[in-house]
Amino acid sequence: MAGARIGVRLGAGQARAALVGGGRIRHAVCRSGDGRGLSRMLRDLAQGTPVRSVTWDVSAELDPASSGSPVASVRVTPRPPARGLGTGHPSPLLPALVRLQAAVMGGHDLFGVELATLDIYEVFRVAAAAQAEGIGALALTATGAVGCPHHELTAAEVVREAFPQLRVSLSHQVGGLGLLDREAATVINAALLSRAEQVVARCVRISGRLGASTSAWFVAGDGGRISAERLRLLPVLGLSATGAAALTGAARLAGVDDAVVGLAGPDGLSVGHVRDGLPNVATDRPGPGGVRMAVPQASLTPIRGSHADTASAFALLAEHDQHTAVIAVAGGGPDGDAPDEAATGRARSAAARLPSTSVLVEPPAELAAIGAAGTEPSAWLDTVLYAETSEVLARKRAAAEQRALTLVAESGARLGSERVVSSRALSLSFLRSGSYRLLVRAGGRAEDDA
Amino acid sequence: MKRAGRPSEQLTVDELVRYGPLGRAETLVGENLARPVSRVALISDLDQVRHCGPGTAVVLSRGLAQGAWAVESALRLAWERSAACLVSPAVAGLDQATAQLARRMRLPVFVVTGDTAACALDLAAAIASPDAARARLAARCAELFAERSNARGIVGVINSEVPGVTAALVAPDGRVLAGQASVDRAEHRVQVDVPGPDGRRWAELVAATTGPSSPSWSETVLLILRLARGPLAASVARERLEAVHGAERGRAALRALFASAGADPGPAAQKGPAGRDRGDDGLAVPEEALGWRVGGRHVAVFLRSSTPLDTAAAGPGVISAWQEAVDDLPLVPWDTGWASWWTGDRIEVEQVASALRRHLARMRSPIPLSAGVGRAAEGAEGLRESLSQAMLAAGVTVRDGHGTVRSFDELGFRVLLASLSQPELAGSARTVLADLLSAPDGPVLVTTLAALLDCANSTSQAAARLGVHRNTVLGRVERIKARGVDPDRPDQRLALHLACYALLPELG
Amino acid sequence: MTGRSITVADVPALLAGAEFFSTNAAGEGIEFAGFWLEDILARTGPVELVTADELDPDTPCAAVGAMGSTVAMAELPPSGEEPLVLARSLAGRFGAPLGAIMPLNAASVNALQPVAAAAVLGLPLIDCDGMGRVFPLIHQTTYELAGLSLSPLAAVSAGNDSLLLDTGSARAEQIARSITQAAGGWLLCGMYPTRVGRLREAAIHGSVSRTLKVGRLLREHASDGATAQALVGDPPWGGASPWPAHAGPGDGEWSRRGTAPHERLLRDLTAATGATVLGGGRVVELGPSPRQAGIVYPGNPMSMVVHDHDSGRLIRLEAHNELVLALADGALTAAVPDLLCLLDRGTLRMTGPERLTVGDQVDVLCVPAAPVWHSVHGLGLGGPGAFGFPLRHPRQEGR
Repeated sequence: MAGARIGVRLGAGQARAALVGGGRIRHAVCRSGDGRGLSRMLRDLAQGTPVRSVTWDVSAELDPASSGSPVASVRVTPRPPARGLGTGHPSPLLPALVRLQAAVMGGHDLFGVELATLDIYEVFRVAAAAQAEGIGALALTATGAVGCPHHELTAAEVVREAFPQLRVSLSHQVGGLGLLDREAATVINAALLSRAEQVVARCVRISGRLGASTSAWFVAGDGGRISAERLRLLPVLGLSATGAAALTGAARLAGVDDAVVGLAGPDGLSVGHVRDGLPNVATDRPGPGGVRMAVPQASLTPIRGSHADTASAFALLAEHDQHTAVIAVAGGGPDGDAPDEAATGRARSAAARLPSTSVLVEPPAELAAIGAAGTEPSAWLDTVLYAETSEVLARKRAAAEQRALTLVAESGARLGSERVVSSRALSLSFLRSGSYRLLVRAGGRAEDDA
Repeated sequence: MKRAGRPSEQLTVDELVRYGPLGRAETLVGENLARPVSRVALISDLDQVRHCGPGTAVVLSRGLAQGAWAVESALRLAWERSAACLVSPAVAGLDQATAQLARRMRLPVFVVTGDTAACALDLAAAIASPDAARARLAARCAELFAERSNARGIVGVINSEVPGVTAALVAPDGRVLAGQASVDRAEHRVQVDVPGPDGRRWAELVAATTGPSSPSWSETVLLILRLARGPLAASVARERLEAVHGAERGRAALRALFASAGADPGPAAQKGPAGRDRGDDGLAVPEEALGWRVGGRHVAVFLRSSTPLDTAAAGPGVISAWQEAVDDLPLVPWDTGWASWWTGDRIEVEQVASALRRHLARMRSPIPLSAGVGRAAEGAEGLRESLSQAMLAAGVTVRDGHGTVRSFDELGFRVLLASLSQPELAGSARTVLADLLSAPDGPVLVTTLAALLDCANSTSQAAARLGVHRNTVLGRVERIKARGVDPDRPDQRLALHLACYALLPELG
Repeated sequence: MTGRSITVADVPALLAGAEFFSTNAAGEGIEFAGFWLEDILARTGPVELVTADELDPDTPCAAVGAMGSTVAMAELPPSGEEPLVLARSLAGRFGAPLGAIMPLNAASVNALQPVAAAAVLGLPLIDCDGMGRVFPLIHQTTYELAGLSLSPLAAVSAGNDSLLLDTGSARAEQIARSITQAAGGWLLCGMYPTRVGRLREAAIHGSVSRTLKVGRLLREHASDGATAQALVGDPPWGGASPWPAHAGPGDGEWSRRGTAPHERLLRDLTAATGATVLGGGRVVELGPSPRQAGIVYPGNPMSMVVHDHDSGRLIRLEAHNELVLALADGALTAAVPDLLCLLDRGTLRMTGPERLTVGDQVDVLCVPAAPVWHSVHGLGLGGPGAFGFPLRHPRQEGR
């Protein structure tokens, strides 16, 4: 076997790392703020074994509430909201991030028909105002951009030309259908751009010290992995990655591709599903500050209560699931060396209630770090298309799937390993037949996979 | 659902599947097929099902089957009315759940790809005259039996035309003469005796029916078997006659061929049963009429049996077995066995030998057979020579049991020694070796002596050939010498060797 | 019953109830409309909810509702100005301004639109509706059954186009439907302009409060989980919290009490709505149904089968945007206009075929429709036949 993979989770002042390779797993912990300490830890972990990749879970470093910068949010719709009606957001996080809110005429309908001409002069004026207020990032959300990003791209061009130092986030790159959720995600993304820049640069630098052949990657909230360039542009994808990584790690250690997984912590159990090696995702999960973002995240349902409570609840779930039940101890102890006793106890009591076909995973390192090391490239698409015949639908669908596969390839998938994990075309209700919402998920095997 | 007193002429769902219109439909659920079908109803409105009586075959019209829900609704109503079965057009979404429901209701469901209205009409016709439906199948079989000339063809008609039935013609010893060997293992069987040309039982025609047994269906199958019996008996007689007649024509043609090329092959031809044949009819059939190729390169083979049977008696059995295994080569009764030959520009002895070995293994010959193979040679004269060599080789292999094939070249001059096994020589040999034979283990000593002489008096080689320890051979040599036979004396060796070979066949 | 109002705090319950009465099959999230309405009510103040009896019978009123795709509306929510345009158009025809708003149907996203309209217009909302559920066509209403005229129909599109249609009910539906597609995916409509006095016969009364009541029930069951979560705090791995701040319904404790949580919820729902539980168990089949999608009934027909855990019966559900009928072992047991609802046992949320996969566990509920829907005319307009099923409604059996 040529080389190992390392996964690192940064969080709570600590960096917890796991080296996976040659059938062994080693672990290490150090302070996350100490760059030299981190480099040393990774070197010690490698013990001379060539390391092919280091995959970082940086979701804890990307907290928009503490490290987000102020943002100007621009919504592009065919008419400005009357008296500001319907522009607010229930989460306190968004008003805290949005320093400047503006509405601009423009946008397309679901099928790519232009609803109003883009008012580029207004775009220019908003950008100028943002610049004047010292705002560093602009979130651009145009209605219909998922189907036709033309107005967002045009507006971005206007801004970049006139105000090159303003960073711009475009909603169609960030999330799927649903203007309000996608706008929230775009704002959070824009707020995290500069933080992400620092974090990514640091992680890439530290990974690079292991040698020229070691590549750096980042875990995404959907359980896939993305490149440094992609995370720099779309930090929102790196949020809530820990749960996804832990799910992936649990399934890997259990040696199954499909599972219902219970992640045991000291205070509760969270339940997720793994299919084909990837965690099940949803786009309607609340993200940071309870904000729904139209961005795919691993679905985790928390179960709280005593060991006996969580054990019987999980047993009930497992009984109704056709896949292998996996219980895993998630999270290390306070010093990171010994596993957390409460979590272990909870996991064992849950495992005791399960049939013999299920698996109890007591990982030799932090589960999320092991999961991070094993992540594979993935991609996700949510779009609307119109097809009058099944042939046209098949053609357009194949094109969308190809787009998802290309994204997978760009995330370092080994050539030919890209595959469509799921592809669903849902007919839209109450519209002319032939209108479909298309949801595509694709995955691949990493280039450095041994 | 089988009720007492059911009019026997009513067709069951099973019969409609086997030889009625439902045979062409896909069976979604094939349970409870023994129900009689009293009438057919083509349904275009679900409410119409409510008016169907028990035993109805409910056929859904194309317009009604708008999805699994409609089929399931009809299924439910049909079940409530004790319908016999449900026939639905092919509907997307008709799947496991529907089948599961039908299974639970024990209601057979069939799916028709074409027009269900046409299916309903066919069903109605079949149900209106059930005997006609049965008779139609039997009549069709009878018609086809008459067109087939051999047993294989006749049994084949049953296998291809009668749905759900496999048939075979089985000899009294259990050998399958024609058809599917698997009938032996079937649960439901129907059989009739087939008489041979002599009027006595010659074989049994056996039919196996698949699926649940149904008395009326068994009757129909039995009727068809009876219809096959006559044609089968006739075809057997015909086949035997043809085999014998064909063989006689072949012998005459081969003799004529050799006569034109020179003398008869081998001294053996002048003796034994073949000698009598010469005078029979003297009929010379031109070899071309038999489809033989006389020119070119031949390798002859000769088959014979260790069983002291008249070739004429065993002939038809051997020849038909040969034709069954090797249908493109002649087999001609010749001398004490049967002759055949391969012809071809590149034909080689080894090739022929291995082909022949395969054929012998496959042949269902009534008697054990072994064979010799001659050298490759050109033209009629060459064929004659090759056949002589094959006959000599067969003289050696006949001692090695059924299936043995060896070539003249492989055996070398031993063929000559083997051919000496003639009655006069054997008599002299018994006299010469009387002392040796009178020993308690006389035959063993003769065999050992022969082996020793074959091996140039090497005791170790002889031990290997005989499969015994060398010391055993040394001990036997001592006993041989004690009886006044000295294998080391050069002036006696050839005579001793000949004597041994003359005796070996009868020592077995 | 005076003094009742709908405030920001009522929106989550209204949303949950709206989901329940949507009869599930539409399958597209309407949560966006909750945030949107909360923001509007926060700016305009509460909406007064009144019964028809409490208003002067001569008060001009009209039904408000959206037609088209909820996905399209989520991608482009109304600007808030649409009700003003509608009110202006209809007032022109009345010769007097509208004095009250009533919902077209107090279900799905249309449970929220009339509230927003009343808020923006500063008018009271009448506690009634014309469907008691979701029907695919805007003329499938008790208003229509009572002889109210659908048109003039005032509409504003996603693209801010406005129109006033003066024609018969069925034509209004057809024309508006094709405009919906061309104009961006949805239309907000003002229709059935009438006087409050006529609603006594023409409306299903108490629909809005019923939606709120069922919604509160669903929220209560959901809040079990939220409370439990608040007690616990951080996820197993510490650090920034990936736990939802607002727990979704069903993220609850599973085994605190003896009965399974879905059984407790079902018990409460049947008590509140008069519903019956047709069965519950695993989804064993799910797929498109071969029925031809008609021009006036756009959407893809789906069919699914639930294996009833207790009886072993197979419950087949046919859906066409909404759940249309249920057959148990081939026997029709429930059909439109009665409401069929699916409860996802895993999440304790209402669900539909688009959101389910084979193997999921669901319960099937049937909520009886308002009595007027069971009349001959009611079944003609909203019964199985109106959805293209040549079946008699279970209530017609024996007639």
